[in-house]
Amino acid sequence: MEGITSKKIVKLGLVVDNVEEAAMYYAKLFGMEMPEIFTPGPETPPDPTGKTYTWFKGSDRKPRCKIAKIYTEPVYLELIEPLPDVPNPFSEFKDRHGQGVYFISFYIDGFEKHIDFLETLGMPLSFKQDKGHERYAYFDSLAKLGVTIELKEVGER
Amino acid sequence: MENRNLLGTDHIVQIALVVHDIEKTSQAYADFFGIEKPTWKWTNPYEQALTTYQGSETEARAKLAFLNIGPMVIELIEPDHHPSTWREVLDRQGEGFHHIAFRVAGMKQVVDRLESREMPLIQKAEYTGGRYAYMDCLNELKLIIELLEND
Repeated sequence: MEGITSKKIVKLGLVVDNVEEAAMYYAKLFGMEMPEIFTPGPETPPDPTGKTYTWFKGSDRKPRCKIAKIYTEPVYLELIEPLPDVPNPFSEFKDRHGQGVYFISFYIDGFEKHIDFLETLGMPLSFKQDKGHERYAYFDSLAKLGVTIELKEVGER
Repeated sequence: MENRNLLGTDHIVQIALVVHDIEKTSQAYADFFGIEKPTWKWTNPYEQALTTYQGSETEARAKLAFLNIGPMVIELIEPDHHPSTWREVLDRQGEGFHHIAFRVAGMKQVVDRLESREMPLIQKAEYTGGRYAYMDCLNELKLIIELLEND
């Protein structure tokens, strides 16, 4: 591969302590309606078929996060408040770096080949989740690119 | 109708990162996107830039490289060791995210609007064809916003 299949940044992910409060300030800044806050449902057990999965430092539990989307152009902002009950990369980032921008996100075609490609560039996979209809991954790219990369593939396998 | 958008825009034009070695990070981005490595250049010296940081004049300069990817620009910033927001963030946080930028009209009014809402000016300067201002929105928005005004 010579470069990822899309060069279009889709969103910036920010990790915050309090998504309602951060969303309110963004709504005031842009003169927007207060965005909807997505709240996760109760934890569900891992899929025994393995079709959907979570992979994060030995944990197969799905992270639970409260999320708000701020629709700026041409990329939107995703405000993420991780609930600390399940091990997750968002809390890990916040513990190390404090609140702020965690990742930039690209939608790509070819999930596994991108994981291989980034590994050859010295950016190992740190988290992946397959929801069935879409899958996404984070890479340990801070030392190389100064920011974490999220790659997302949409569509059934 | 009154525009309630404090910036007058919701269009992000840049995402900027501070780095220790602009050559190395530029090459890493070139490999990642499969594009040519961008060239970098120094910001103007004080005599032209008239940079102020936290209300005081500073000789701070930085090497800048711009990656044009799709509708977005990723800006890489390698600051020198004079006082600046770039150096402060790099020393405090290490390499990584510094700001998102918006192009505004009426710089002074936008700065005043943000300052009156507890989002103070950190640093400002002139560049060829315009000026910038960094606003400290860390408490409210968890990031720094750069305002760009071109003549």
